Amino acid sequence: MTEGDSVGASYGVRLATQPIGSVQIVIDSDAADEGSEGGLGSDYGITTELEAFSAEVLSFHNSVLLSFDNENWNIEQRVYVVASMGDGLVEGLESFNLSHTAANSTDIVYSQLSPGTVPVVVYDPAGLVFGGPASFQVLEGAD
Amino acid sequence: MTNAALTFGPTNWDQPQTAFVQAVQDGAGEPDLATMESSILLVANSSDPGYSTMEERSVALTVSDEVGVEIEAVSSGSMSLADRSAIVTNLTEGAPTSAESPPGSSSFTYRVRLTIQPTTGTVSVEPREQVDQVRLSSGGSTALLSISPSAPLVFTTANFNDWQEVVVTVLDDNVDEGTTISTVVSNVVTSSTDARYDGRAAAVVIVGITDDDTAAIQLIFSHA
Repeated sequence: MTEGDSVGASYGVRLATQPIGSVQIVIDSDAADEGSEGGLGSDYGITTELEAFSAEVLSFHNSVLLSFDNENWNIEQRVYVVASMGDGLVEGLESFNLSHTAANSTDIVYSQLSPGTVPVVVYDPAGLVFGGPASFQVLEGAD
Repeated sequence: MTNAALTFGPTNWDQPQTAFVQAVQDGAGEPDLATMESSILLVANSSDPGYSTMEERSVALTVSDEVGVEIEAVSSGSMSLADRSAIVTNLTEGAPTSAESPPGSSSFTYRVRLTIQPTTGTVSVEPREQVDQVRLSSGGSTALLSISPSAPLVFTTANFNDWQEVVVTVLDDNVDEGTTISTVVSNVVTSSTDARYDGRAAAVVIVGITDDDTAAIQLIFSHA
């Protein structure tokens, strides 16, 4: 994904097992706000609703919430990672992390999982790549 | 004790004395006899010439064998508790259903019969499990016993001593239930036309279950 594109890279999230209660997964980005450094307002954001996503609100989308229950636990929910308008600067390789935490779940097994992190690498202006190979499963909490 | 003496003399000859008779619990069914005949012999061993020459008298007794519902493991890899109160086995969710080898199996077979012949009609024994971790089936069928409608094992006066098999199969759910799951299958007489069997129960089957599910958040990257 290239800075300035309206479509980002995406990945799917689902649960490995059926929960007893609800599972709330908070995905947080630790991407640095380029705007605060260069004053150009460039940023990376995450969202579950790509159509409603716009460059103006990117900086407010450093966190999304996914909800699973005992019926939709194995249905993949999509998370989009988007870079905002190109800032015109050659910034080279940048990276940030997306953490996944289920601590607020009412399902006690999921609420006690250790948080997991996915590294995201941004190639400016070539694209945005997730850590690990394509077609890849990160199983948080697994041995 | 197989004999006891009651002593009478000139002063107490007309006072009744009581002898107590207790059946011996031998733990074995006598399947062909619901009741057994026995008797007590009364012999006068006396210094009084009149009583010492008396003929022996006997008192007839009828001893009922202990009714019961018996179970035993058919699958190997299980054990019976020493006090016969339970059979213990360990099964694994999602493992093959080879009935011969717990704990690496998802199923286990035990069998049930009555120890003595019902006097009349039928005796129904219902295997039950309450927490929905296993399915129960019998007679080689795949019909589910524990889930409504239930299907008890029915014993008659003719087949009361023939074993009837029950297969316990662990449900392969998708829930991470932690490392220690277990359940209990009880085997209770739910109806009987022989009142002696009412409320009787065989030993329980204690099933330890190894879960094959591990909770995790799966992230799926499928972009090119």
